[in-house]
Amino acid sequence: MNRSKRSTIFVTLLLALVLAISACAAPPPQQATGGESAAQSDSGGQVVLIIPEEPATLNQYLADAAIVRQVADATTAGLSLVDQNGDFQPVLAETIPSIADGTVSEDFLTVTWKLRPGLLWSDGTPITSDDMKFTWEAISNPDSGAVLSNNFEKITSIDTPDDLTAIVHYSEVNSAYPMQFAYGLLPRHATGEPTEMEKWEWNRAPVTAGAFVVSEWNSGDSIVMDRNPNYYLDGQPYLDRLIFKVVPDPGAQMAMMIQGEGQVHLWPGATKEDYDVQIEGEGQLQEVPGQWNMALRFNLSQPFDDDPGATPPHPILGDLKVRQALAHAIDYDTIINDVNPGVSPATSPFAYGWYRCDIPRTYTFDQDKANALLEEAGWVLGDDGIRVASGAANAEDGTRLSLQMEGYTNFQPLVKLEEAIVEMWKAVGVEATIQNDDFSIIFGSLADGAPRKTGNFDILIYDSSLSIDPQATIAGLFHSSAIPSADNPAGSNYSRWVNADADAAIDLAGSTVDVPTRQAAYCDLAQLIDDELPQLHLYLFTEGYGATDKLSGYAVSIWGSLTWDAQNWKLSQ
Amino acid sequence: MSTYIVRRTLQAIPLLLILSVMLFALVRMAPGGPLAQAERNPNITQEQIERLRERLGLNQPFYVQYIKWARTIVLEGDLGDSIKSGREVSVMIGERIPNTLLLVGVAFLLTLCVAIPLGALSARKQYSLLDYVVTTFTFAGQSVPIYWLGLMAVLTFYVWIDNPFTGKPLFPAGGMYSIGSDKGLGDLLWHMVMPVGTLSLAWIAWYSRFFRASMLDVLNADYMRTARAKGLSEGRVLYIHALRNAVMPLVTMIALDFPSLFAGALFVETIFSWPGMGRLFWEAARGRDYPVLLGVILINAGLIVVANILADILYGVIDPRVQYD
Repeated sequence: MNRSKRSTIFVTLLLALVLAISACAAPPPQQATGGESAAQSDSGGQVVLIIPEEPATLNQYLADAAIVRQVADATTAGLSLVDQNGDFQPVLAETIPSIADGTVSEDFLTVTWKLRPGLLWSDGTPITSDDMKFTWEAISNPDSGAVLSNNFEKITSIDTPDDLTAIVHYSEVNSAYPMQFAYGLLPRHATGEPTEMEKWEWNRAPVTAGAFVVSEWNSGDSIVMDRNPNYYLDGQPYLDRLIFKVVPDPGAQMAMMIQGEGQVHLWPGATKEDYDVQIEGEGQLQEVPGQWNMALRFNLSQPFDDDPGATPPHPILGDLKVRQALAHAIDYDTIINDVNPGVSPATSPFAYGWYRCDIPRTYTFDQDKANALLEEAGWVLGDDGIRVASGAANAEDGTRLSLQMEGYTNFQPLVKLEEAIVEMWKAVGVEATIQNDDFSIIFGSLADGAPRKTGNFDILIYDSSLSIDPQATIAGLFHSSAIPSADNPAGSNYSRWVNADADAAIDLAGSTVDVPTRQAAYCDLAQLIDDELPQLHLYLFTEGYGATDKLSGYAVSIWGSLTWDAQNWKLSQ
Repeated sequence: MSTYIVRRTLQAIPLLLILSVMLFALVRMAPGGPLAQAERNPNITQEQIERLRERLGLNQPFYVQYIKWARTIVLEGDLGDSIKSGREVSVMIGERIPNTLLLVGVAFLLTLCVAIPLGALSARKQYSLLDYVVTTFTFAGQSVPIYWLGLMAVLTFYVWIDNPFTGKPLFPAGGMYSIGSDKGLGDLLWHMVMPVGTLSLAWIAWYSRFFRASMLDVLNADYMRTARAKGLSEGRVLYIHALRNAVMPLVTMIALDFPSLFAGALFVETIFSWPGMGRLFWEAARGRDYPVLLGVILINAGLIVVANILADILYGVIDPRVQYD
């Protein structure tokens, strides 16, 4: 009796202890939601941005991960930027150089930039054209480790006749010249040796021309940025402080938004419908059609023949009729409305920007046509409803019409799409299987044995994107000289598509800075792609972020990161 | 005893060396590479990626890469630099390891303080109401995944229950300190309650169950009857004779469990945004940041070796029959 009493007391004490700990801990005095802090002071208050991972650096030229730009743009100002409409806008430059005002030479090889007068770095030092020159010197240095080359290697020299003028000389046409210094300038006085760039202290605490300056970096936890007193726009940024809070778990991220502790939520990973219901009354998911274009990439070359080259043809996909049939068999409306609702249709790689080209789909959903084409191509229905070769161009008789689709893991919309396509193709007698690999495998290198590089695949299915100047990416994806091989491991013509007209269109688009000429060339290419189907484009994902209703002044931009316009943000009570 | 410690430490060196070869091979055999994210960035050209690959030495044969890596560790005591951030791996680990040790250490102390008495009581009162309650709790605690427990804790104590005095959430959603706070001890403790609680709950379930079994074995042993027959008080029999013997298997268990303690910390660190080693490891693994990944694993391996040596020493302290020469 006595002992059982004692054990009851013990358990009670234990409970009391747990309760005491939770009761004792007073909430910290400075914890406040953005709204309250805005109300307490006359200035703009602070915004907490929830980010799922920590950027490794704030030096955009060193960074490969998408998260870096999302954070670093708050502390970056370049000579120019691309606004939400896809137009170039001057930032630190007075104007965007052009042929019209003579700041771009007739041969496009000389570009003259003028800085705004009176610009200061965040430490109060003047920003000069010499900083532009240093930026080029640092990034073009092969030992700097910079990956975001941005055509810096095409620059032969930069003249700085005065502190505000920089004359950039190119060895070949750089069609992307307006974006040359868009990822920020590097201050010569506050960085270090170009060869030491990866070790610069500047990378985590940049002296900057951007709207905000890093004041505290708590590894694995948060990055605090305060307003740059020397920012070039008077009275901006409006906010006093941005706090990037690293919260890896989606559940915890959501909880912080619901409680109003976070004001902005990067990459929520939920549909707008679900998201808005969850944080009802606090905020919404703000979205625009984004850059990520979902496409099927057909391998036109024989896989598993130890040759990443274009020949011999793929036994099944090497025949254009089969690719046409596969395109006809896809119910595009169902995909856009039911399988991945919220996406917007895309028929070519050029689905946005100044190079946009909305061609009508050549091969629309039509199962009868698909069946007829497959019959014509020598693929007849077998006993189990799957077609087999009987007089097919590249396959031995009896070969099963079976294809493998390869995508990447951990992305539910992709899995849903793959499953839908499997069903749609099955309806015309095509068997498809799904093989999704880890990100680092599917996007690996030739040396890593990545299937798209070695050519050992049937169909790749994933989304890709184009930047404001698509030339390098497009030439890589569709030019016949860009088929990956041991000699050209950087090649990215994964379909192994060889087409002289396409090569000519790509070359033309890269040879001029004249927008209408380039646009027409890209449109020709888009039509060739839709006719010959090295790739089949499906739709664009939406992009955006969750934001509290108290935040205003922001614009979600397909071209910008989360913080591209943070200088315009305002917080109300 | 000191000879023994020196001997064990020296023995650990070749062990770690062999381990390092195996780890290096294992990490590098994992498919994929550190440049996959660059491949997804439309602003980075394929030529740049190839140049970077060369610069990082990723195109060199496996053994060359290993020797380079091992040499800097042995000769310079340097774990190398992160591929992603260019920062020294030792600095990065140095920032995180105290946080993980704090989290795991406090949670573990709490676990022992609760699990041993709970297990002992439960064994002493086998088939009593208390025993049933404890057994049910431990069974449930062992079955529930730790990340689910963590999420439920966030939902309950952050979203649902407010502090009645301030109207703010009872406990924070995560992190070590409040945003913009002066990083005081009170703030830290307040932030530790949920992660430590979640970790301990799972561990208490496991260890109290284990200790109950261990205690039951001892309670039925002959020497217990002898002790009672000698007329010793029940308290002395229980707390001196039984407890000490029952703790022996627990020490072995803890030493063996050491790696999984860190694994459990990974989930808790992720859910509660705790800036610890587990998350550093996870991020490095996802990005294939080989130097960071290997550094973290090597440090963890070192910690496990140390824990094993400590456990062996503890045997000697607890059990007078164990002698070290």
